[in-house]
Amino acid sequence: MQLLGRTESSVLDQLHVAVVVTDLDGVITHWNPHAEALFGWTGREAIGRTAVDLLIPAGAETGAETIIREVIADRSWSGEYQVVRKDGRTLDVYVTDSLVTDEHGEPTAIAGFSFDITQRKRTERRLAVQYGVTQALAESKTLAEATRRILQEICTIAGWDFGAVWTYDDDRDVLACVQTWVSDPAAMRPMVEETRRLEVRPGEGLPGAVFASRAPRWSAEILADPVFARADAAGTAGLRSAAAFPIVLGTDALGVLEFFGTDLREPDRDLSRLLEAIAGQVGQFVERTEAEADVRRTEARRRAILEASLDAIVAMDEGGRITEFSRAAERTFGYSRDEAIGRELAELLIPPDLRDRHRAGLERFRTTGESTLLGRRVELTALRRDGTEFPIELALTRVDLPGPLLFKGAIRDITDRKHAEAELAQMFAEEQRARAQAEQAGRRLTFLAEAGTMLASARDFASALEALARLAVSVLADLCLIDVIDDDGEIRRMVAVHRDPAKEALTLELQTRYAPKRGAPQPAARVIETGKPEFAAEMTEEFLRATTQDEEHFRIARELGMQSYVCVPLVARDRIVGTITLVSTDPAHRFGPTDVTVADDIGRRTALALENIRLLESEQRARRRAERSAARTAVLQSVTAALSGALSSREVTRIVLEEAVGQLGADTGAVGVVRPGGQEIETTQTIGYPSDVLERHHLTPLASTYPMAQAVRSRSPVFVHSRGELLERYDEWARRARSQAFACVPITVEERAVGALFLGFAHPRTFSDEDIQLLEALGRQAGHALERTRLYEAERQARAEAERARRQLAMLSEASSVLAAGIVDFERVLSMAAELAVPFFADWCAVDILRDDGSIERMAIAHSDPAKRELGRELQRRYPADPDAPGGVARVLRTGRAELIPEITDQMLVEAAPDDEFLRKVRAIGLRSLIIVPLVARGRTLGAMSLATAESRRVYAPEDQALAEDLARRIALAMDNARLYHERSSTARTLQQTLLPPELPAIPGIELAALYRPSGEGNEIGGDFYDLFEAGDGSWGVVMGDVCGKGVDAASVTGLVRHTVRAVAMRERRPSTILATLNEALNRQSVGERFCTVCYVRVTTNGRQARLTVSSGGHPLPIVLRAGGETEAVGRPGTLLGVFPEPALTDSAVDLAPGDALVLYTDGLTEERNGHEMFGEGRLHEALASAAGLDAQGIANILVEAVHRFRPEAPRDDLAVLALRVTP
Amino acid sequence: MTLLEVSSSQQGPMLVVRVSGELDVSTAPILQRELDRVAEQSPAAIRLDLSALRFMDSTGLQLVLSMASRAQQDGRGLELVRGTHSVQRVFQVAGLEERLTFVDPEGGDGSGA
Repeated sequence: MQLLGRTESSVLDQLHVAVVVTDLDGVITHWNPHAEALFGWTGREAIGRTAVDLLIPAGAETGAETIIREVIADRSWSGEYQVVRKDGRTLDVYVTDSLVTDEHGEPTAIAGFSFDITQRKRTERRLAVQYGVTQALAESKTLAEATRRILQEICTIAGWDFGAVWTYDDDRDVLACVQTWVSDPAAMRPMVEETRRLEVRPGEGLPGAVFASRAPRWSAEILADPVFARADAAGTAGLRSAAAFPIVLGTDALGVLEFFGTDLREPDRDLSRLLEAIAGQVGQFVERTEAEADVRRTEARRRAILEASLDAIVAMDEGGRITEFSRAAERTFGYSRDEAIGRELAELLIPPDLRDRHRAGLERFRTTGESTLLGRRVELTALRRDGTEFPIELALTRVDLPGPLLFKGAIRDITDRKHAEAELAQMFAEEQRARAQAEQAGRRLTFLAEAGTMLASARDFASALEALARLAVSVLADLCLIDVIDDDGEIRRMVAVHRDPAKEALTLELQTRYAPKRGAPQPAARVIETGKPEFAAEMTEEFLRATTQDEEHFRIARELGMQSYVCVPLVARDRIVGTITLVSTDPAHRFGPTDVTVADDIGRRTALALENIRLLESEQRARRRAERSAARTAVLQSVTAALSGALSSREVTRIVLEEAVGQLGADTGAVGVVRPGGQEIETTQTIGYPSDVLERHHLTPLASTYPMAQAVRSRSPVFVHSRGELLERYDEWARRARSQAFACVPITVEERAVGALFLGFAHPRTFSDEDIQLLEALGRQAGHALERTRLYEAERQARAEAERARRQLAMLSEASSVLAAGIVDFERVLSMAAELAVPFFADWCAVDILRDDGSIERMAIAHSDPAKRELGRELQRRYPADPDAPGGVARVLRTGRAELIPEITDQMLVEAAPDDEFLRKVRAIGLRSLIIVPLVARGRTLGAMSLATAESRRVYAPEDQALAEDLARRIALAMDNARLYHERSSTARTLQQTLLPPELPAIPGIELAALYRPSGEGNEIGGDFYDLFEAGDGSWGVVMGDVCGKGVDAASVTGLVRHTVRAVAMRERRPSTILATLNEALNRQSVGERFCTVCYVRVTTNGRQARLTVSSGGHPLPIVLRAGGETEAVGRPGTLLGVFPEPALTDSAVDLAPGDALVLYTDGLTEERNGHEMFGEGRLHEALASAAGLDAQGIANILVEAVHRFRPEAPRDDLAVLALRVTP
Repeated sequence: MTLLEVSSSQQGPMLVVRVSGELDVSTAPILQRELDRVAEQSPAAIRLDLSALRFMDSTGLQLVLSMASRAQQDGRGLELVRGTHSVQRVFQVAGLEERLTFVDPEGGDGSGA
């Protein structure tokens, strides 16, 4: 089933996301190249299968089906789910499903736009592990607590089933397991017990090997790993793979983290790095807890020493002799009491070099009573029996007893104390160092924790780096510099931050002026190349010189007081993406290997976070793109649906323009279409332009520099993004243009550009790939739709043409039949005639006739709407036509020529209107096009037919005039017939009577008889006539004539002939002269081509005989019927009258004896026909011969009867016969 | 079947209009139309071949006359191929045999009419 059009499919294939279209049952119908790349199945493999079978992991089918139902219900669904690739790998994808509908809004398919978010999900999980571990370390008081939490975090998130922490006991040089975590305690019990029981030396088993090598180790299949020692327990627990990581601090190993899984696991580089980093963090934690333990130990020892000391008591007399020697003194000095009593104290207990000072002091007291020692506690050096000297503390008092002067000294051996003091001082220093280290370690942990939190929550690259640097200078360093490699591979110093705000200006120099370039002497540039961390505990002047770019750079480094630095690479997925440099300006704070470890950790985390942000940003871009793609597809779909319903090019351009303007938020828009001939582009549709602009740009020469012409010529889009670019690229047009930016795409059909779509923007803007794709797709769609409508319009036009031709024929044939059917009522004929044309041929049709008095009378008016017809009639009544009007019907009646006015202008109406009200009403009718054709029958203009269009907006063309003329001819014929009928029925008889003598005068001795037989029904005035009169000189004139044609016209000529002949005969005798005179009169009267034939016979009689003089002007010659029955024609043929200026006319004389007769007749008699046979002169002569002996009336009757016998029906032509006979 | 049939053909500078059948009031418009049409082509000369005409009445006469007068006005030659006796009789009676240019039918051409 074809669910998508060709354009839609190709648009889908161009999207940068995987597109899978399914029908409503989930069967795949479309599979674009990105889908192929993402899911591993080719389109050929995928199409026809259901998306659930193909992609959804076992167990998740129901969820997928729920989503399909949701899409159908809500039209769209977005979210993340897991799919399985062809190669079995599991992918996390983000999917936007949207419902595809047909032009009726019925769902036909589901289009899914997917892209891969696996990497992002993995990174997210890694960050979660890091975050969890850091939190655990920051919050835990003891290693046991910390490691328990860490194991749980790592195992849960990374999916391990067993985890253990081993620590190293350096006293015993063994590793012991201090912590375990298991997913399933029952199943893992043997493994836990075995592990807990085990102690390994460095190098033994998995933990020992890792501990000794300081390097992580993966074991994809532990049972096959010779290093592994707990195979039995592990096998029982179902564990198959393992990974172990050393817990290190600086270069020392403290322990091992160990993890086991029940599945086979290939080494995961990223996970490995992560766990390495975590193990390093654990090392930091261990260091901190140990430092704290050290502090506690030192304090306890000092207290023990102080508590353990006891004093010795020695007394002496005035002479310096020992009088008392306590037991403690015995222990202190090594003499017994007996040995000591009586001995001089100085000699016994004081080192020789100090004895004199002692003796002098004693002497001074004896003489002066002053003592520097008495009542004080002083530190002196004493001499033991074994000759060793040792420090003592002496408190000397005078014993106030009667008797000799006595002194008592309390002596404390302070050797231990001195030792302890020295030791204490040393320990204090150590403690200080430990405390500093603990603080440092704590700070590092804090920093790591805070940095981790911050990086995990960072969503924006630049602010994340800035925050990281601020954190670093508040905790670890005085100056932090972060450099990042941008997309071009150049180093960009993103951040330079100093702890001291006063140094900001100098720091800024480091960012702006002395940012490291590739190959520059700075450590950062080097680290970016090598990827290896660097540090310097001391930055000597020499070093600074070597690592600065110039003198000024050196000065700044000096001024900042740089003392020590660490520089580590930012490595994400094996790629160096930048560096972090930490600088200390405090001489007391110098960086060492541990700082490198910490910085490296930070570097890895930062890189990971940056990578995550980058992925997130690109994911967001992808998501936006997918959503935009979906939206754009929906737009194209709705446009396609709208265009499929568009029947005219106007509608097509309107739809496309509105969509384009709406989708791109344009301020103005226009569509131009290449005109036939291909020289110009006609602007056919616009949005947002004032009328003067439209007039100016209605037609654009294709050869011009305007964007539309450019786009059409090049068949490619034209974009301008700013006013500056506009002015630079275009000249005079650009200055007037109000747009700052524009886009112009060609409208194409199969590589032909048939027009262009232009969008103007009031503000500068750029055009994304999606914008461009959408516009181009719209251009193509418009092209196809235009082509379709063009074909449709052409077809419709052809069909209309055919229909018009058919209806024209139908109208004419109807006209003929209608008009032929009832030639009875003149007015009805005219109104039928008018109705014939409406509404197919005209909106209005009116028939005017020309009255004999020259006035014009509107006889009929037709419109399909009776109300309008009434309006027309009212106008007609109120404004009767003026026969002298310069134009319109009056002129057509005058000239007899049809007039065609294709477009009636208002000016014409103004000129034709007799007053304002008429003008108003005529304007309201909205006349558009007009044809006035004369109604001409038999050479006479009887009237005129006016055909006009109004609401149909039809414009008449010359071929319409031809049709109108054809119609008019038929109507005129019918009119003529109706009119003749009218005339005949009402006036024929009367007229005939005036034309034929009411009764023939009597001529003495001569019989007369006349017969007139009109043709047909006998109600038309014929052209035949006869006359007989007394010529004045005693002769008689007999006239027989035939005016060509019939009816009133003919009758008027008949009248003219009769009167002329009578008048002329009064003065002229010769018949030929009389006829010549008549010829002149007829020519003078200019009766046109209307001629007549006349035979004139002058009759003179003496009462017995008659003499006849005959002249014929084109008339059949009279026939003499002798009494014996012989017949002969009399006279010679002459020229008919009314045509030639000099007719050939002759006079012939014949005498009639009694009984002889003369017969005059018209050609209606001889030309009467029966079938193809004509009555003819032969039959005439025969009939006359048979009439011999009959009187005049009898002769006439015989002739008429003969004709009647020959043709029983009514005569075709009228005929007249006049017979005269000399009375026998 | 039509009572009058008219056909035209160009023969050198001459446009030949050939009529056959009956030329009367009912069929005259047929010839009239053809003559009108022919006149529009402004031929140098017209030959009206009446030799195949069975019948002609005064309507035909009128037609021929008006044709003659138009030819004269337009300075165009007109010749009539003589018709049957009855046809010629009409011209004769109207005194037109001398007024109009008649030629004889070419050998046997119209004899079968």
